[in-house]
Amino acid sequence: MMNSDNRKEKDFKNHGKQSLAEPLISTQDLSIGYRRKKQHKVIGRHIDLALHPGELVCLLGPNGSGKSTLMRTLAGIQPSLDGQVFLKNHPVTAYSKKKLAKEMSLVLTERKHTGNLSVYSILTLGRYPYLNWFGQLQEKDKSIIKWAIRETGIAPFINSHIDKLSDGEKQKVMVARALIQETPVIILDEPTAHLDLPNRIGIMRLLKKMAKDTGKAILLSTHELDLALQAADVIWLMMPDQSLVTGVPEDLVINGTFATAFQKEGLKFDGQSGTFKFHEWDGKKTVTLEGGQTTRTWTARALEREGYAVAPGGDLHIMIHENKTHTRWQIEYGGERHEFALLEHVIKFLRQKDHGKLTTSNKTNYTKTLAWEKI
Amino acid sequence: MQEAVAIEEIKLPRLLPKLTLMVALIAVVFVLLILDLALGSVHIPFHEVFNILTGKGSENIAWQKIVESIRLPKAMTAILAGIALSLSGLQMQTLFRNPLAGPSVLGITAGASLGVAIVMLGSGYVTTSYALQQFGINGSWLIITASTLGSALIFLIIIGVSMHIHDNVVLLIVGIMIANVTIAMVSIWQYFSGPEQIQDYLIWTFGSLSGVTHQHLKVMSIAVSAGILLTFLSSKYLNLLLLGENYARSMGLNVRLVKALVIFSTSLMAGAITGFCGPIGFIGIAVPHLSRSIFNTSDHRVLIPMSCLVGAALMLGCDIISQLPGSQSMLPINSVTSLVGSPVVIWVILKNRNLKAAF
Repeated sequence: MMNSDNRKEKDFKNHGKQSLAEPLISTQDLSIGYRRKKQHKVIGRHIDLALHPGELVCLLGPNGSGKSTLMRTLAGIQPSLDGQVFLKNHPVTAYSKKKLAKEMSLVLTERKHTGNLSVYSILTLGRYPYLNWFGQLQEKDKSIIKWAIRETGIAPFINSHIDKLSDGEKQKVMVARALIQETPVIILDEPTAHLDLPNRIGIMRLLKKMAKDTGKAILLSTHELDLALQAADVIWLMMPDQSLVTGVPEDLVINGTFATAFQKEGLKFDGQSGTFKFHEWDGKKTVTLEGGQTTRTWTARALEREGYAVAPGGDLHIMIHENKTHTRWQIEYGGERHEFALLEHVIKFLRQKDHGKLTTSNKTNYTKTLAWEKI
Repeated sequence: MQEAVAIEEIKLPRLLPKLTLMVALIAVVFVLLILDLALGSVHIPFHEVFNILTGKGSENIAWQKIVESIRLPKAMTAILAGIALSLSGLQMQTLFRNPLAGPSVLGITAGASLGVAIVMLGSGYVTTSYALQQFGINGSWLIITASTLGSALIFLIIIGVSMHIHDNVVLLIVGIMIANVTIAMVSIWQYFSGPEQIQDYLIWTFGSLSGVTHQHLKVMSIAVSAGILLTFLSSKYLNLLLLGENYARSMGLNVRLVKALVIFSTSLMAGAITGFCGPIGFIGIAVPHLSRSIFNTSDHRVLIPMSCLVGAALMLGCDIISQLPGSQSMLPINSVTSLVGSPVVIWVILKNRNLKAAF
């Protein structure tokens, strides 16, 4: 029985394994955008990309940078302005709808009500490209549906109606439907939008696993920068100059592509943490931190919120003393040494210092904290 | 990992509706058919109706004559009309993604009236059921063609508008406006006709199932059967459309072809029924909602056969009421369907709080 299981599963997992080097989707000097009556509105130009089997690719870019347009063009929904999209070395526009449906499946953002369909009914629709005129499901169709149900973990609600599910469950159903369509390429338009954090991670994990296990090429657009940095094999980044830069996420961070991509928005990408700086430094206050490991990072965050930049040789010197039971922050200021047990009190001290109202109140802080610790 | 579940252990649900409900519905249709044949200005005992139906014949020749040449064609027309209008409404609601769509609402039946009026008035005849009966077999085909073309014309206009306007409510308003224009055109035509013709036309607009003769019934059943067959064949396409046109396309559906298919079958069915029976409202919009709420699904593989049964049952019921059993007079069928249909729609809305959830 185990044997037959394996054989069946292998059938669903053989996509692309035979030719890892050959890209499933590739473009050359592609221009994307909209055709207007007189002139073209170009959104992206000189786009060269390749989507390989087994890869999870995240397409990132600010709003309005043309992520959706690029995906629509790759999917053959929207004509390119110049250049060609190749799917398995044939122009995507040369595929018939039925043939294309066997090569590429889509998960769209359309969130209008999908009717009162049961989850299972929706899943069966995924087999449409393979069904005969009468639409009868064969054993093979049923076994791939079962496989997709297991992989996506939607078995508990296949009898429910789609309207009754949560957003995360709905998205899983739509991913399962795309898996059931049994295509080497899956394209998802913002699959993590509207989802809470556990669901966002759940969907990304699922897609990552599918790409790895089945050898499918999975392309998705997202705004989840940190999630994409962790999950993606390759990142495609829409740049402000309408070009597209592709690469392994870490490479793009190291060579500063990330920083330039979002510069337009006035955002600073922090290569250290892989996130965007929320607080802008006005260039005035600097602080030097010493000691601690994790505490140091969080202290830095708190200080940045207060308008400080952490740098060696700063105006202010903060020492962090840590032992098993407690943490202490020590600040040398005005010839005196102040000690604090909570960052809350450090911040309070710094604010008072700035307002020149530095009195003995810091002492109160200290005692208050001790009293609190006794409890 | 949760790899423990073997693929074989996953049970797939069945797509077919509950057998008991289906059998019950078929029984309801059958009972209503017998009632429709038995009740009327002349009451015929049930066992006699049964004997006549099964070919044994009745001792009372008058009864046999009444059932065979008057009530049976009328009941058959009611069943055909119920099925045709329900399936038209169902397909339109899915195509336009609009719970309020239906042949009478979007002006499809008005288009059919226009087609009929052009043929009748244009060839010097009057649009009456009496005049319709004077047409031979060629005439019936002419009527069906004209009313189908009239429906298709309006349908094409609505489709054209729907490609530019994606707002359901706006589309609905446009549909009603087009229907009004069509009706106005027919009215102007009527205005220049004689007073008798106006009266005749008014009677035609009340709708009548009894004006359909054996010969018309043949033509009508061929046209409606073709429409039903096409609808059944497009059930899986219609399901894909429920996910939205973009999803449907991505799964390889030729949306344009399906639209053409729906236009053709809907115009054929609604056109044929309207041409011979006059405009019958509300069945087309009410039955799909009724079926959806009975079977709790929008899956067309279930909805299409079930709408046929519900539509046939509802139309037979309306026909029984319109005969006013025990009295000599009859109510116009169009008023009865509206009287029965409107509360049904209101009931569905109240039960589901809103139509979109049921849709």
